[in-house]
This record gives sequence, structure tokens and C-alpha cells, in this order.
Amino acid sequence: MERGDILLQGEELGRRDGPVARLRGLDLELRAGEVTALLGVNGAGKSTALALLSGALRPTRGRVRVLGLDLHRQPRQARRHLGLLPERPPLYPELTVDENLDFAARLRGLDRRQARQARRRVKRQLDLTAFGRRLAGRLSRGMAQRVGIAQALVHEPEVVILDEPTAGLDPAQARELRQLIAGLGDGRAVLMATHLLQDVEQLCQQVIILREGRPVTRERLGEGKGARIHLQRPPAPGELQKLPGITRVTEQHDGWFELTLEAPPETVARELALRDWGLTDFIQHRHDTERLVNLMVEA
Amino acid sequence: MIGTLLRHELRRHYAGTGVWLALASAQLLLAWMAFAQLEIYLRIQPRLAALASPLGITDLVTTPTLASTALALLLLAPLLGMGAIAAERRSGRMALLLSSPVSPLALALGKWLGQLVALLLVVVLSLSMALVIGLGSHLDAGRLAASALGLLLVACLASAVTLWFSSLVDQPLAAAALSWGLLLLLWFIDSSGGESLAVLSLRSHLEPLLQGLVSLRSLAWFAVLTVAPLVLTVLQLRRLEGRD
Repeated sequence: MERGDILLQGEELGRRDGPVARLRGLDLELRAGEVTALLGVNGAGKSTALALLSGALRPTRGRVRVLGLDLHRQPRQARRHLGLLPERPPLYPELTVDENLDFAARLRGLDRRQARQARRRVKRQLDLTAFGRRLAGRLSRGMAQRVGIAQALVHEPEVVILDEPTAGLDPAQARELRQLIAGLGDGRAVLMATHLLQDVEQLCQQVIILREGRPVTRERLGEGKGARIHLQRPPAPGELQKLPGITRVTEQHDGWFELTLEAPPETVARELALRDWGLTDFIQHRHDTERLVNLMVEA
Repeated sequence: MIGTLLRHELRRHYAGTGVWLALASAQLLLAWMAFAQLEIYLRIQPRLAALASPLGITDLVTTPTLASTALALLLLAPLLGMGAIAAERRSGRMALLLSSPVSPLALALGKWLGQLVALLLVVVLSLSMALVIGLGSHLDAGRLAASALGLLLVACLASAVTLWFSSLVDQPLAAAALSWGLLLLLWFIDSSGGESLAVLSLRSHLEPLLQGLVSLRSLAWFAVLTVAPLVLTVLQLRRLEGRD
């Protein structure tokens, strides 16, 4: 797979259970080499979306294509390209790590020999070699999560879906896991539901926010830019937003504003300097942190 | 894929101590009952010989022991199979199964066979006990074969019923309670004396087999009561997948 290739497409996805619409009108594309975050409060439809996109649940509307295969018309072929880590790692506590990995591999269609090789490879990849004979029920939360990710990767899927992968982990474990997800490679697309700013900030290129089962915001991180400015004689925020190249204005205090920009920062700075607003500071964000915070708050 | 699921279920069963304890307890109980029957038989055997009674060791020891084994199967099947699907749902592992390239039919069959094969250990041990008794006497081989078939059918039915209830709820204990309720109802349903209820009774279909009589009616009864819960399990799995 080339970086940027579309690996998974969800079109107008919806799920209705009786009178309750769990999800409505979700369109998304997951590209090779990208991590996409799905944000939203509990009940916003994240888990439903992940279940629909992983094939664990059928949509009542729309369709999912995985590498061009219809997930619900050609489920056996399409599901081989998907790896899923549910909210809780799907481990059998009475079985060893090796047995859990073997079972996950066999479920995805690998034969016994392939499963054994895949298990060895994924254990090396995730630094689990020393834990093969340990019972899954005796693993720490972080280690169990790591084995859960190994289960999702054991058959080398092109699309990996992770539900809150760093939730409940201590900071060190969460950092390790982020490094691991970041290193999944250019050939894969990753979709993750998360509540954590660090996850989005450090890993994601795209953010989709769900609210009450609807996608309300879709942002491609890194495309837009942000800036913090200070004006001695500030106009009303509405006036600021009318300037070309500014998409959002958040008023702070004492003449400070956070801007979200769609035009190059130097163009916006020139426009501001031309106005009689007393521009004293124009601090361009090197990262979209402020936008991310706003997105998380919005979510 | 069915083979993978079957082996996985067996591995899970035998990895835990609970299953071994349940099987060992059942076996001890059955062995104790067999010895009690044997003791009675040995006590009355001279009188039976004097009366030229046709009743032999098969009637008085083996058949009652195998009938008790049938009841033990009805009690053990929910213990073994209550978590087959309910525990998967409760633990969140169902997502792994439903998102893998396994059809609901394969999933149901794999799980069912896993429960069945685990349960067959009890049948094999009971039949071994009967064969050991037969070493010192004359056993009716045809009748023993029909009894083995009867026990196999009971195990098939009990596993299928348990699997179905396990797919309906996400609490394994609730699945076990529902399974025991239905299985014991089928066992005791003709105790009220109603002739019309005998057609539904498990005992009325098992007893001819334990007597060595294999009838199509009994086979059909067991087949229907095994296949129906399996079909319902497949439908429930499809519902969980959101297809229906």
C-alpha cells in the first residue's frame, strides 16, 4: 500500500435500532499512513461507528468498503483486512498469551503454521516475547492492552480499529502504547476512538467529532494553522472573523485572541497590520494544540 | 473454522479447574450409584435365578446407571455451556468473534460441538463403567449400543438448549438457570401423569433407547429438539450482528 491510498470508506453510514438512531450519515475515508480520531461524549455513537466499520454490526443504511470490498456483502474477504481492539482487550483469561494470539490468528483465517509464525512476529513487534506462556488473566492492564493490540495486528491487517486504546493506562504505559501505534507503519490506516488530547495531538492526522449519533465536525489536522494575537484596540470578534483567511476567533483576555486560519499566517498578519487595531503580537502556533483543545471541548 | 472453534472451546474448558471438578463430582456420584445398584443386584441374584427371572445385570445395574448418567448430563450441560456465548458478550469478546470472518452458523456449530465433546467425556466414562461391569458378567451389547446412542442424543440436546439460552442473555448464570429449567421440565413433564404430555417428555423418548429399542419417532424427537435451539442460536447471533 502506498501512503495516502484509501483503505476504508464509509458512505452515509447509519444504524437504527427500532425508533433509536444510533448513528446517522457518517462518511469517512481512512488512508494508508494516517491515524484518524473519533471523538465524542459517551453515547455520541463512537462505539456504534467502530462496530459498523469493523463489521461487528451491520448498518441499516450506507455501506463500508475495505480495500474495495463491501464489508457486508463480502464479509469473509473484507474482514481479513481489518484488525479490531475493542474497548476491553478480548482476551481469554484462562488461556496463555500464545493461545490467545493463536486463536485470534486462526479466527482471521490463518492456518496453523501461518498462525504460529504470525504469533512469533507480532510478539517480537510488540515486545511480548517473554510473556507467551503467561496466563492472560494475570497480565497488568497495560500488558493486556498490548496483547489486545497484538491480537488486532496478528494477521497483518491494512486497517486497524482501536477503541480507547490508552484509556485506563498509567502515563508511562499510555506513552509506550502511543509510540507503538505511531509505529504501525505507512501501509496501514488506523481509526481510534479516544477522549485524550495527547492521543489526538501525538497520533492523528484527521479528527471526526460525533454528537448524538451525527458527525458534526471533520478536521484535517495540520491543514489549517493557528495564531495568538494581541490588539491594543480590538474590534468586536465578529469584525475579526470577517477578515479573509480567518475561520474562527476565540476571544481571550486583555486584547488577546486565538485565531484559526485557513490562509497563510503572513497574509493574515498583513491584513491585521493594515487595520487600526494596534497589532502588537502575532504568535503563530507551530502546532494545532489550541484547535485541538477547542475540538475536544466541542466534542 | 468450526474445528478451530471446537478446539478453542475444549482448551478453555479443560484449562479451568471448575470443569474438572464438575466432571469428577458427576463421575464419583455415578460410580457410587453403579456400585449401589450392583450391591442390590448381587443380593437378589440368587432369588432371581430361583425364579428364572429374565432380569439380568443389564436391566438392574447398567440401565439404571446410564439413566442416571442422562440426568447428570442435563445438570452438567448448563454448567459447562452457560458461558459459551453469554460470557463472550459480557467480556466484550463478542466483538472479536463478530468482526472475524466466521459466519454465525460456523460460530454456533463450533461452540455447540465444543460443549458436546466436553460433555461426552461423562458418557464415555459411564459406558466404560458399564463395560467394566460386563467383564464379570454377560452384557447385552446391542442394548448398550442403543443406550450409548440415547446418551449421545441427550448430550446433543442439552448442549444445544444451553447454547441457545447462552446466546439470549449476557449473564452465564441466568443462561444456566434457564437451561436447567427447560431441560428438567422436559425430563419431568410426564410426571403429572398426562398422556398427552408424554410426547414432549425426554424420558419417554430416552427409555426405549435404554431398553435397546431404536425408533424413528425418538430419533426425530431428539433431532428436532437439538436442531431447533441451534437454528435459534444462529438467528440470535445474526441479530447480535444486526442483520435481522
